[in-house]
Amino acid sequence: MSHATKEEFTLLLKDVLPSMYRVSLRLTRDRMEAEDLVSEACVKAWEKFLSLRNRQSFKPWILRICQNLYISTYRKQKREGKPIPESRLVKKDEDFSLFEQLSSPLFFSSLTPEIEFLNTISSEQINKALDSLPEKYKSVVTLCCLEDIPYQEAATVLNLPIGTVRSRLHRGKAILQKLLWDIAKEKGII
Amino acid sequence: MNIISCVEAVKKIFELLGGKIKTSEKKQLKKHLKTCRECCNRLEFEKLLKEKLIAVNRDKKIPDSLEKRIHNILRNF
Repeated sequence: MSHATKEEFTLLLKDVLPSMYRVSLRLTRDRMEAEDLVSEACVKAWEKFLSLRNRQSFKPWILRICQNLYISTYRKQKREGKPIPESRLVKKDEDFSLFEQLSSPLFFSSLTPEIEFLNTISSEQINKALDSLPEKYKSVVTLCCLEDIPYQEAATVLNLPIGTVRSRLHRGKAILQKLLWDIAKEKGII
Repeated sequence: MNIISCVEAVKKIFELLGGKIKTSEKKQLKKHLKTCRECCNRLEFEKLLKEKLIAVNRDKKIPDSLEKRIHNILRNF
C-alpha cells in the first residue's frame, strides 16, 4: 500500500485507539489481553483497510473488528469477577431505576439523595458493577453509555438491529443501576 | 402540541441523552419539564449518572507498552 494510505490509516487509528483500548479492556477485563486484542485488531484492520470505502465509518468498523476478534479468540470464562448469570436476573431488575428508589418518599436520607448517591459511589464500585453485567448488555452499555457512541454505530459494531441495541441498552442500564444499588447497600452507603 | 405523560417524558429523556431525539419530541419534553419537577430531577440525575460513567471510563489511559507496540506494528506495515 502507498505511503499516503499508511499515513491516513495511522491518523485515523490515533483518534480511535483510546476508545479501542477501553472497549477491549472492558471486554477482556485483563490489561495484557486487552493490549493483545488491540494489537491484533490493528493488524487485521490494516489488512482490510482498502476495502473500507467510507473512511468516516472507520471507528465503528475497527471496533467491530475488535469485537469479532474478541468473540472468536478471547472470550472465555474468568474465575474471578465473572458476570452475573442471566438466570439470576429477575424481570423487575430489567426495569430497575435508581432514581425511583432514591427519590421514593420512604427514602429520607437527604434533600437530594439521588445526587448525593452519585457523589458518594466510587469509581471502583462503578467498575465492579460494570464488570458484573451479563456480556450481551455490557457490550451495548460500554459502547452507548461509556463511549457515548450513537445507537446506529453501536448497531454496526455489534451487528445487531438498532431496535435490539435500544432494548438491550434499556435493560442493561436498569441492571447496572440495580447492581449499583446492591453494592451501595452492601457498603453501607445507603 | 400534545401534552405528554411522565412515562413518555422519561422515554424522551433517554432519547435525548442518547443523542437521538426529533425536534418535535424535544419540544414536547421541554413543555412537560416546565410543569414537572419530578421529571426535571430525573433528567438531572440521568445526566449526572451518564457523566459519571463516562468519567470512570475515561480514567483508563492507554499504557505506554501498548503505544510502543502499536508504533512498532505501524512501522512494519
